[in-house]
Amino acid sequence: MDSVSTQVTLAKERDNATFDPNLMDLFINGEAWVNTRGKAIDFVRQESETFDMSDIYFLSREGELNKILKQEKRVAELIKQGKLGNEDALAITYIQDASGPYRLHRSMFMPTLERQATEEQKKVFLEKARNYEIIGCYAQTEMGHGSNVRGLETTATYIQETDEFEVDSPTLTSTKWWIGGLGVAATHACVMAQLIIKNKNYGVYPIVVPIRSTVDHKPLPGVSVGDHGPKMGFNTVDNGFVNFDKVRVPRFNLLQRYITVDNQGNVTIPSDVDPRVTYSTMVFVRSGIVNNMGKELSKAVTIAVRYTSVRRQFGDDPNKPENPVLDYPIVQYRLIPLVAKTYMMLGMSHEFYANYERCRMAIEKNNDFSLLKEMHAVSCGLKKWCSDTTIYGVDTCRHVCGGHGFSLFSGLNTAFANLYPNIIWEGDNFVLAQQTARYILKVAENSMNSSPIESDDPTSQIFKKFKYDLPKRKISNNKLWNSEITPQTVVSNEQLLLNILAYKVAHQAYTLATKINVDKQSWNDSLVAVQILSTVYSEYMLCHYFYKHLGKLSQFNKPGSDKLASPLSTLMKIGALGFLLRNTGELYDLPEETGISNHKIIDGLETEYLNLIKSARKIAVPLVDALGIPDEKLNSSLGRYDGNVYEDYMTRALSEPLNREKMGDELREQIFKRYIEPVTKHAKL
Amino acid sequence: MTLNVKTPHSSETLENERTKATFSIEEMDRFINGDEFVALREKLLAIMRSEPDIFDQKSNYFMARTEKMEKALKQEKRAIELFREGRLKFEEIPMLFNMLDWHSPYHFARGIPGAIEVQGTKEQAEVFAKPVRNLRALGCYAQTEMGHGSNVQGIETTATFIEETDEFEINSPTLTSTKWWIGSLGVVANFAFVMAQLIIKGKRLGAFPIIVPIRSTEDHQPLPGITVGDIGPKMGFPTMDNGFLRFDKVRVPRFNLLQRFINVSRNGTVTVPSDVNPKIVYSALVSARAHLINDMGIQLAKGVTVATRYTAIRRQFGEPGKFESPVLDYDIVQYRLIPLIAKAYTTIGMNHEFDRKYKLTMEDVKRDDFTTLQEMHAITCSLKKWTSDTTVYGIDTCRHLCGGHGYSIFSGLNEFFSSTYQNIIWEGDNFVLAKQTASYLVKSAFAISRKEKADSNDSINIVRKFMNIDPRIALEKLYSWSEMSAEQIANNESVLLDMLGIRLWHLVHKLVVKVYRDGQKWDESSVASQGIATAHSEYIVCLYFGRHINQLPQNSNLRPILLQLLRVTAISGLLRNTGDLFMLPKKAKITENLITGLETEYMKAIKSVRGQAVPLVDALRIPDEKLNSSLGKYDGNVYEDYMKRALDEPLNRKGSGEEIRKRFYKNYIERTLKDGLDQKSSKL
Repeated sequence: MDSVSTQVTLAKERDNATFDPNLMDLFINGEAWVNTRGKAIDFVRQESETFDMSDIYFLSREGELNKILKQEKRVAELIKQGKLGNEDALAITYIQDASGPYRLHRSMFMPTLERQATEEQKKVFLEKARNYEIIGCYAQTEMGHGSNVRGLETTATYIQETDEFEVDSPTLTSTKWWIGGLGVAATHACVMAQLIIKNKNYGVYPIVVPIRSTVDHKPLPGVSVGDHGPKMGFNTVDNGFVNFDKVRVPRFNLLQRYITVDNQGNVTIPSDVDPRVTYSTMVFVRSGIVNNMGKELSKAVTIAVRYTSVRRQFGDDPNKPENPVLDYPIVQYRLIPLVAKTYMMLGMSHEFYANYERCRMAIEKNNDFSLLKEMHAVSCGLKKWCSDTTIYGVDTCRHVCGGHGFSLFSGLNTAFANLYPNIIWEGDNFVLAQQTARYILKVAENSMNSSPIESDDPTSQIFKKFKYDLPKRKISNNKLWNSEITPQTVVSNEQLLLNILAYKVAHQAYTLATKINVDKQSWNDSLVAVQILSTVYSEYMLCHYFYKHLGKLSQFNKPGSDKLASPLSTLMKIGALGFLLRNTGELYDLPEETGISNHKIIDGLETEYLNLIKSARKIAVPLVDALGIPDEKLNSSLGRYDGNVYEDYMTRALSEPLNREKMGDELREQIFKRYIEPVTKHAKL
Repeated sequence: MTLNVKTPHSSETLENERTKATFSIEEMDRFINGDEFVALREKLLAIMRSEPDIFDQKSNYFMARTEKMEKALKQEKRAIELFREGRLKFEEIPMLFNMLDWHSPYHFARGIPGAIEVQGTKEQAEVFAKPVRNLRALGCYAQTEMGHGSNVQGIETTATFIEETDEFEINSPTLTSTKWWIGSLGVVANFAFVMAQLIIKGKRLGAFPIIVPIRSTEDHQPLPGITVGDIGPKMGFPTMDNGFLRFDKVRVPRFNLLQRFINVSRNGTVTVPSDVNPKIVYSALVSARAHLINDMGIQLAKGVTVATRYTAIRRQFGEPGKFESPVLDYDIVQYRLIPLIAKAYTTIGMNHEFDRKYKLTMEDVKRDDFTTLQEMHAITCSLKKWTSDTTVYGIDTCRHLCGGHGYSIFSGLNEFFSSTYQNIIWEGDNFVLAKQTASYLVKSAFAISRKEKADSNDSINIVRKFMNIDPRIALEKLYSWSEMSAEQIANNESVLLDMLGIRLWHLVHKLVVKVYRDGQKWDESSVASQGIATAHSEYIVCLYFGRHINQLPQNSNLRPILLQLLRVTAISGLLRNTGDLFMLPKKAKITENLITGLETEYMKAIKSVRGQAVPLVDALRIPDEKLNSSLGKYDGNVYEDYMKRALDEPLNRKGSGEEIRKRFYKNYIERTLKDGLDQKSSKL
């Protein structure tokens, strides 16, 4: 049996490209990111002695922390010297595929100060934070309290005699927990605590509490602090706990942009502050997750596509090489839609981000909050959708790599474990779906009540387009589609696909709103439908924003850009069709006059879907190449750009501590002498 | 504000849940787990508890991989002593490690005698297998290679007959031919059961097993020509020394080729014995999958025990002025968790019936009767897929239900998830296995449609029933649900079984049409096969679980709750993809209204189990030792245990931890805070 080298196989796959991968990279990732990413790659390659991550899989927790702290120190040094910005630090974290103990200092501590501190407080805290003279963390969640912020138990009580706050942890469950950067690094914590002044509880506010000495980094009096131990992933971050035993801080340390306390204990809430501002912070954080997920799934699909193209298994002719497993329909069926979803998330993020910026500017410039509600609903829905898709997409990528996916050298196990908290933090996905659905139902309800829909956001557009006839309990449009419905017309027309997806949203929203409002179905009984509604809506939004980004292709005046249209359109169709067919029950459930809810069309669409997947198979390798993920981030034997899969795999295995010269020899000798020999000796063969 | 309300302690909340039990925990344990298992479990726990310095597992979470491996080896050494004292049986040792919730590096060595006895002659079994049964020699099963997995015929390692010396020469001709993933090889084994391409007189005869010594029995050093090592860290299985192995023209006597199915004579003449049926080898695959299916229930039981106890005591939100509500009181939590409790019970319960059938088949095979083997093969394929998918992703859901704390190693669910994961891949990847089950059903259905001979058994009979050709039954009788409301259906397990049956038939029927009428290739049918295999296993597990429940007397207090769990599993399967129901022929009268009605009933059934959730997981009797979890502790002292474990983190320890922190500070953090500053600034 002949075999073909993996490098040759991969090179041949690259010959199938119908477009320029570099140009595609520029279009789908955007020029700004391509540049920032390039700068970060150059940087870690130049300083590879500090930044090389190939040995990470063998390190103990302590070893991992030591390595990442060394890198954090170097990055902070360059930030102080003005040679790197925060954006660069983020890009470096991305390339390294690991976060460090200073991550939350940058992503939570400083942004909270920016938003919630007065100008005077910024001078004291923020300037030092920017200069890394203090390292902060954001201490909100407690051992016994997560999503329900109002249930936090930590107190900050005003002591008028000394003009101080006394911060206290009254119970075991009030111990601050999960706080990134707290375990070994932070000098300060921004603590969320119940504010108690003259026996009155004002609710939860942030207060800056020094926790470790700036002289010798020892915990300050009254502060019990530590790392809370190993986790599923994220072990390069020192998530920690802290317990306060009546710790005093000056009144000044309460962040006072949204509440002011004077030295008599008088509380004023500034009148020009809209409480919705805090709400916009959550939108900000979730939008960050939405924008990142595509970049993370990119890593996984790159590994899986490259590896399944070179991995061979079975074949019809014993005299020929076995077939690449990517040639098998069941592998394509699991993997190609993930490539499509990766592209859709990346494309969507540009438009979504632009919309987010519009919303933020309206708030900051004109105190105009009109766009916030929809933004909130979309960001909740997409946060859930993107994180679910990415985490379980990484899992599928691992599974299609077969046994070798289970090795740490696949690069997919640490990725899965590190990405996993995205489905939990910043609002658990199941809870967020409910927020999204509530908003959609509200819009649907308004539309049913014939209240004019004034806003022109993408959500309103759905309900403006599809009106509801309540007595007949169906969407009332006479003519639903501009073209006849056949499997072929549906797959050849992106606009029609979008309309069907929008119709599905409207249909489900109206139906559920009617059940709740008219038939008085309880919210609890609606929970499953609510989860589905949020999913269907997010699928539509993803397609909507991605399609909008595809519209920019015509302005993307670069030689060869015309070649990008066809693969991108195929990916969009695979994505959209996959959403329609996710549970065909939802299609059968549509009214007959849609022309879609019958076997003939649905069976036909299933066939078209498989055909589209097959057609994308040919350009799968160029498509993942175009995602521009460097080998450093992949950190994977299976996904290497050059296809030297098995050589690299063997090299890594040989550096396993058990195999190393001397150290490994001693380990094995010890194992033999202590355990194996005493058992097998006196062999009576 | 909830601030001023004194919330009940978590242990008190859990005790309260326990008072709601409508059944006897002891009786349920004995019925669902079986007397034999209960006795073994108690015996093993007594051993573990009497020797905590060897068997206590609490500190494992802080260990490096080699430390874990060493600890497991120490436990194995003790187990072997107990075995030699007659206190433990050879086949009981794996369950000891199951209770310890990890694997012995000897795990795969223990499977070797069985493999040798299937493939070797009696004489070979005596020479090669017996020492392993006495744990005097340690073998490993070296089949997969770096470049070759499922396709055994594609492996590259060769065993060439050298007539001059009457030996075989074993060789690894390429990098990709390196044996890889071999459990118990990395540091433990001293010989290997090697699958190699047999070459005799220049002719390739296919892959056959041959016994090759790899490490010296004197000093355990690799023998000449052998390159061997550990393949490095994995997602899970840290105690296992999965290894790699290369042969540079290694010679072994001709006797070492296992010769039950092939004989090679002194002069290289090959004969195939006429008195053995090669299907016996095939039955070995069935056995491996059957063991895996046996194992899945107890693993899922651990997942649901942790999640149920923890969500019962974890409080979040609630009405002002009252305690926050246990998260298990929220419907969306019940919706995700209760069906998993039902499936844990279904998996463990159905296994009694499955195991009975499996053993009958193995008896038949011993008598050279292979009639039941084909269905058993189809069933083990689809059940292996269903039980491992359900368990692995069920554990994942359990972790997610525990919120942030699920992400801590101390939840007990993370290394556990990682070490259970490979069950969806090994012993036949789940996606590949589905095709085997689908092919059996589709071929049989086609035969029936042409009035040709087809098997008569649980799998085929249900398809035959809904084909309704011969004998033909009146439709109102065939469609037993047709005059019933959704509520009546949801409370009638035999009607639910019928509905699972018609759905299975229809999926099979659709593929029959595509393959036999439209000429679709089998390869192109792999997507449709997935749904068929899943529908088949959903029918079989409910059928088998129902049979097991029916062994109970009518007035047993276990019956009502067990039947309710069976119904939850059945409806969950039916509603998994409602498109499969919408698609059924109109005359079957499964209407949109009925489907929506079943969705409502499903939620009602789930809610009805909520009150019994804690007693139900208690009755599964997963000991705290196996849970190894702050969140799932039987006594409910969740947060105290969690804090204790956190304080034990090496970074926090007195002395050693202080040293590490000091080093981090001096080398990195202090440099960050102070480098480039003029001395006078910054003192906060």
